[in-house]
Amino acid sequence: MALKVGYFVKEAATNLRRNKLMTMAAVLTAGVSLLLLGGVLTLGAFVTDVAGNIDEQVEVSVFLEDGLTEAQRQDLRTTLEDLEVVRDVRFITKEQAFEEFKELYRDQPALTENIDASILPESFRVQLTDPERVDVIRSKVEMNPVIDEVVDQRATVERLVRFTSLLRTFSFIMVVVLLFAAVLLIANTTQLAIYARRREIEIMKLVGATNWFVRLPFMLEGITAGVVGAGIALVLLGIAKTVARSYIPVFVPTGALHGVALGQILWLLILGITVGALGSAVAVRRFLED
Amino acid sequence: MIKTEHVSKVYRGDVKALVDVNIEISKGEFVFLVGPSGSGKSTFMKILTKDEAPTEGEVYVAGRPLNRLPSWRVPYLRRALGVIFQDFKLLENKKVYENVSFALEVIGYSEPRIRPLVMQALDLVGLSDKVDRMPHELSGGEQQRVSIARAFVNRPQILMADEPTGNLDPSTSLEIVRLLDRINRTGTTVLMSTHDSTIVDAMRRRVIELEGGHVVRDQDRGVYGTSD
Repeated sequence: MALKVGYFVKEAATNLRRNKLMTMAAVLTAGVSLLLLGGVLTLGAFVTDVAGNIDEQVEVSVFLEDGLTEAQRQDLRTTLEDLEVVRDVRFITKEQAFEEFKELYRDQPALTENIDASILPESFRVQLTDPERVDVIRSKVEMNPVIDEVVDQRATVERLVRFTSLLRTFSFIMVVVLLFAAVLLIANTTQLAIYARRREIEIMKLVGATNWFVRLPFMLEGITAGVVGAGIALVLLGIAKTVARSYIPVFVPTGALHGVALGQILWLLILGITVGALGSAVAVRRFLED
Repeated sequence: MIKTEHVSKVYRGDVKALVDVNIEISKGEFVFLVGPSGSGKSTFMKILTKDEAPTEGEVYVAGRPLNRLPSWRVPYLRRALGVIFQDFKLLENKKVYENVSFALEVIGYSEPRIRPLVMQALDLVGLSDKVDRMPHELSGGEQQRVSIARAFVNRPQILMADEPTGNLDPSTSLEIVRLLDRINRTGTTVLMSTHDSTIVDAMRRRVIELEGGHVVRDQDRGVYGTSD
């Protein structure tokens, strides 16, 4: 049998036009659900990047009490350097700390103008071979009376990762629900198209058109809705990423926010096609097969 | 061409539509299927087109054992059959020509092959001057002729007509049957169910009579009813 591509495309286009509103609802639902999915994937990639970045440069700050002697400092330094997990130890004077402070709060001159270096503590910046091993530092030096406080960024990182994974789980549930809604809407649109053409379909079966010949225009219609939805989602995702990038501080890695990854494009397209095919297949199955 | 062996059909609720029907119709025959409403004529037709499956018995149509015909082969069975109905089943939004060409388009015929076949079929039914009309612009008899052209355009081996004259006046009915007779003379087997005694009596062809699902008469060169 000659495959009549023109026929199928024409039929699918007619059906899509005929049910404009339903088609739009189906396309938009598919689009929104896929956009949300794209957002979740992007957020996941972004947080992984950020967490990795923070992990890499994680430093433990060991703040010192004021008025230590050089011998006490040297003693502490040796203690830290002798630890197996320590890679590097840097001493930060009050003046260096103040420079950093000024840099950090440069857009709040009220803060920087009203304090001076003397109120900031001296500290050791300790780099670890394994950022997970902050506890070793703590147990070793925290009880030492010359030490004011041991601060690391791990807790922050962990909170961020936990929050993100919660957000991701929740969003995935939303994505599943919305994709399901998209399948139902596409099924509904297809059902209307089938109903509008029930006489034609009856004749087609009567004169011996194959089941695939009857089905294909409707399937094509559903798939088109899914693909258009995916297209909309991809465009909006690209825009959202560009916008998001401008809000993110320079020192944070934004690799995940540059362009739309090929993997994401494929994911959204495949899901769009699947949603469309599934929706129309459900309707076709219910209404065409006796 | 058509053969049934011990065919029975029982619907839900124990309604016996057909009981032990054994019929054999050879190639090129013209057969009337008669009997009152509810006698099983429509069920018999539906079993032959595999719209319905018999509860029991074997059915052979155009060389195919229907009981063992997988559903994906059913469209190919239908291509060997032309079917026409009392209500014509024309597509109201398509012209006469398109109604006929549609039957070829949807089974994958290419455009250049379609046109001559459609014109021949419309010529045969005497409507070659009305190809661009819409169905609602035609009389009932003309509409039925379009549906015959559509059923015949693919040159089926068997033409089945389910009460084709039920909606038509007597003289138009006779025209339609003459047309079916002409198609029969091209070698096509024709099976026509009808209530119309005038037609059956005028044609004097083989008559199979059903009553309560039983074949009560199978007679060559018969008339509508022995009791009429």
